Order: sequence, then C-alpha cells, then structure tokens
Amino acid sequence: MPMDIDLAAIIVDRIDVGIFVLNENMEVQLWNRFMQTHSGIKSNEMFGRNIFDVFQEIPERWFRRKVNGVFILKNHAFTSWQQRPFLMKFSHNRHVTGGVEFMYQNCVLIPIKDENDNIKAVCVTIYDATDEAISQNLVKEARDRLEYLSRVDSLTQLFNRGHWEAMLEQEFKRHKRYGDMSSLLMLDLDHFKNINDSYGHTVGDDVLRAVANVLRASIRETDMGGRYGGEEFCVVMTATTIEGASALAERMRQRVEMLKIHSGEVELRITCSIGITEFDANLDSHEQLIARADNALYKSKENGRNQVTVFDRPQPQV
Amino acid sequence: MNELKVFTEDQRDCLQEIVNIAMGSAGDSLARVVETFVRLSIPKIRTIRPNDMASALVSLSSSESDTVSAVRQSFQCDKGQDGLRGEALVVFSQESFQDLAELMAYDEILTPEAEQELLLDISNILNGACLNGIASQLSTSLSYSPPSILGQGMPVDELVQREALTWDQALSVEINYSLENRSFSCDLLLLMPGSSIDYLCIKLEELIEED
Amino acid sequence: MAIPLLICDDSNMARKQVKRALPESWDVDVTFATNGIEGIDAIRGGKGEMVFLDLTMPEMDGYGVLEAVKKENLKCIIIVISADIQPEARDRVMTLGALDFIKKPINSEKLAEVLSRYGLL
Repeated sequence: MPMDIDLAAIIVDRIDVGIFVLNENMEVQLWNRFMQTHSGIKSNEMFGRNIFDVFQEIPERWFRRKVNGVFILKNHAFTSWQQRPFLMKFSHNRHVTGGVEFMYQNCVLIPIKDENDNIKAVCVTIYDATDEAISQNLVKEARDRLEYLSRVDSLTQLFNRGHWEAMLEQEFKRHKRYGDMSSLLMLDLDHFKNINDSYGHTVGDDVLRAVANVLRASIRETDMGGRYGGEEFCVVMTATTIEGASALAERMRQRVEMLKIHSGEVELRITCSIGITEFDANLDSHEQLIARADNALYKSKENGRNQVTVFDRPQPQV
Repeated sequence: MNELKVFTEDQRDCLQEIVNIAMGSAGDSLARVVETFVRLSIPKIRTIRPNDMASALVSLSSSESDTVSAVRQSFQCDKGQDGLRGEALVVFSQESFQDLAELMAYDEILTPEAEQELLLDISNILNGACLNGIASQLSTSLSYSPPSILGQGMPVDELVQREALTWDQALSVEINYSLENRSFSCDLLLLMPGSSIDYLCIKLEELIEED
Repeated sequence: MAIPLLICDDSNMARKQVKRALPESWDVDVTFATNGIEGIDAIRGGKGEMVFLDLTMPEMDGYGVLEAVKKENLKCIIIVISADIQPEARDRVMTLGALDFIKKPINSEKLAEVLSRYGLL
C-alpha cells in the first residue's frame, strides 16, 4: 500500500527526532520541526543555507568527511554520543542533569538515491541520547567511587598498602627509564603498642588519624602518601633528592612530636621514627627500595627513636 | 545439539565466490577512504559452534599483536523474518591505530574517543560494503545497527568472554584486510546463525541452477 | 585454428562463469588453472595465448602471474577478471601488462564488449 505522501511529510516534520537533509554542497534541503525548535531557526530560513555557516560548532573537516563518505560509499554512517557528545549544541530539558550541559546526540546519516542509483542527498537524523548519557554518567560516578574506596585506607584516608605499593612500583619503573630522582620515606610510630594497650583501640585509631593528617599536610600534590601497616606510614616523594627528602622528613618528625592528640577524655603526645632513601636505578625492584628505607628506619629506632635516618650503603670494614 | 550443517561442494564454491566479490567491494571502499592499496586475503568460510569462537578469534592475523580492539555491528534482512541476519565483528591489531589516524588525515590529537570513532567508522565502511555486496548478489537487502565498541586495547582472549553467544551453530566468514607498506591490519568476522544458513542454501541453489 | 585459452581462477564457480560468458562463435581451446603456479605452467606449455586471470588466488596470485609473464617475456594476451576492484588494482595490472580489467561477476555482454573493443573477436 503506497503511503500517502502528505501523511509521510507530516510525520517527518512532526516526529520527535531531528531530521535534516544536505545536498553535495552541504546545503540544507529539509529542516524538520525538531530542528526548528531546538535551533531556533525556521525551516524556510534554513533552506539552501550551508550548514557550516549556520552552525560553527560543527567541526567542518570531520563532518564533511563523514557526509562525503556516505555520498561516495553509498552506505549509512553513524555517530555516537560516546565519542562525540553532540553534533549541534542544543539545550536539553532534563531536570536531573547528572553533569550533562547540552543535549547528547546519536546521529544516523542515510544515503538518498536518485533514479540512477547515485546518491543525490544525505539525510541526517538526530536522536536525543541525553537520558542514556545521564544514566551512564551516574553509573560511572558510582563505579569511580567504588574504585576509590578500594584504593584507600578507610581509617586514615591515605592510600592502602596494595595501591600505594603499585604506585611505588610505577614510579620506580619511571625512574629506571627516565632517571628523574625520587625518594622514599617510611615512618613508624614510637611505642604505639603501649597506647593501644593502655587506652584501647578507639584512642589508637584517633592517634593514627591525627598522624595521617600531619603526613598529608606535609606532602605535596605530587607525592603519594600511604598506610603501610598498622602503625607504619610511607611516602613516595616525586622529583625530590635526598636533601629535599631529609628536610621534609625532619619537618614531619617535628610536627608529629608537637602534636597534641585529643581522644575522648585523653590527651596524648607521640613521636615517630623515620627512614628515608633515594631511588637507585641499580636496584632490581621497588621491594629493595622499601628494604633500604626500612633499614634506615630500624637505625632510627636503635639510636633512640624520634629521629630521621638517611639510608647509607654499608661501608666496607677497614 | 543439531548436526553441523554442511554445504555441498557446489554451494561452497558458489558462496566462496560471492564472498570474494563482496570482499573486493569492501576493499575498494576502504581503499578509497584511506587512499592506499589494500591487500585482500582469501576468505575462510566454515560452520562453527560457540566453542570454536575462542580459537577462531585467537587465530586471526590481527590477533598476533598483544592487544586488539574490536567493534561489533548487527545486521538483518529488511524484508521480514526470513533472510540473512547476524553479527559482524571487526578486530584490529594494536599497531593499526597510528596508521589509520595518519591515513584518515586525523590531525587532531588521538584521544581515546577519537580512536573509537576511527574504529567505528572503518568497521561500518567494511561491514556495509561487504554485507551489501553479499546481499545484492542474493537479490536481497540489509539494514544495520549502529556499530559499537566490543573492547579496546585488550588481549584477544578477553574479547571472547564479552560476547554472549546465543546460537547453536553459525556460518563464519573471515576476511583479512591489510594495507601495503603499513602495519594496519584488521579481520572481518561475519557470523550468521543457523536460520541464515538454511536461507543461504536455498539462495545458492537458485544461483547454481540459473547457470 | 583454435586459440589456446586459459581461465585461471581458484573458484570453480568463477571458472564456469567465465567459460559460459565466452562468445559462442569464438574458436577457442579452453584450459582451466586453479592457481597462479598452475597458470604460469599452462602458459609456458602453450595452453594460454589468451588468458583470463583472477587476482586473489592461493600459491601465486594474479599479480605474481603478470610479473612472471613479463619477466619471462611469455607471449600471451591477459585480461584480468577480478573482484579486487580498488582503483589501484586496475592501474597495477595495466602497468604489469594486462590488456584490460573486468569487474566480477562476469557476463557475456561485458566480455563481448571488451573483446570487440580490442578487435579480438
């Protein structure tokens, strides 16, 4: 049953999908109501105009290639909001935006044949994909949050050991490849077991949180602070020589020493021992770096605690 | 589980030639878009079961690289129930990107989205030309879903897990396209489930009898 | 005297299609080859003064045959009949000495037109 031409024209005009047609010169041959409403330009004003003259936001080279592809290859083409959020900047009318500013669009480009099977025009259809984009964004946000949670130690909000070690490994590999200097710091609280035994875990947790805050305040954006163990903390200091690391370590030690921690009715002080080492490309693994820093940390403990020791390669006995 | 459907020798040969012609058409489209000589392989046609998918994917030439990217696009006959339908997978070797970007004169920075767009566009071009080529020789026509990324930069065996296969057996057509003097390589894997095979047998017999 | 005609294509169907497309009145002696190596052997053996050649074949492809014919200076007229229709394919086969290129699928009208164009009929 051949469709009533008038009926078809009404549907094309009124359907809730953007429909416009371009000839070989990228001039508009048809502009339906959806396009009119969202662009604010009437169809009789659009007829014959070059699409790029009117919509400067369309990347000309990309869109021309896309449309010409349809003319030459005589086949449909597609664009997806996931690669390009939109072809044309239209506003959307959703209440909950989920961070989406403009209407997200999926487009289908359809070849229109003439009697000789050549392509005389390309029909572009624009589908509003905003809902899909918003819900995907929300899903992504939830996923990112989940991922964040699995990287971070919930008590101190520093990186957990697993993730921090992975970052150290990356940084070590970078150092081996490019040579820029970084340093490693290991920090262990002094007599922490006593605090837990005397005052209980709640107080112990408050102490850990307070120290973590000091640590976070002492390091830069580019450094990576983590909780290595029960009362052991660690920092990768990027682009830092041993001199810079020493200064930072000493500052940190002083701040911890000066901390007055309030937990419930208790007020406490605490000190820490610190071991630091510079990265060394001659080492085989990041574990060896940790071993060096730990070695220096142990020396701090042995020499009376509440101090910073720089790792020193053992000197041959004379 | 049904017995694996088998073509007669004449039907196989006819199908092989049909695919050969369609492949040439897809190669031509690709060549026009990238303006480079396209090397065509001899299509590999066989009937497979879901278990064979893993080894089929792994044995593709493009899968020789450590990681691959893949695009899927489904197609169906636009004249009602009976007819060709199925899925086209295009698998790209990792080394293909840089070449592709250069050839498509992409002077924008190759963001992940731009990479995806390239993959989707090339896949759409190859699928459309090849499948339309097959369809027109069988005097039918097809419509297509938009292509979508199945996986990007992953080891080829991870790709298989992503595909939930719902068919018992399918006709599989493998075609490799590579560009001369370039590292670009991609494999087109057409999968047409059971009912398409029945339809094809009928159509092939018609063509054989015509002569 | 019958002209030795070689049809070189790995597809049985394609070989039959070419044979069927041959003009009825043409006095030819047809030989089939299923790949480039068989094809070259046939040409060397005098079976292919006139050759219809496919491009995508196993063992040795059509380009290989054209190159070998050129190199060995074998006397034959080659018309390529192929599905590899990219623009450069035609250029290449012509440079390698083919007389012309016909796009598959072949039929008798196309073949007759090309043959008469070159006065081969």
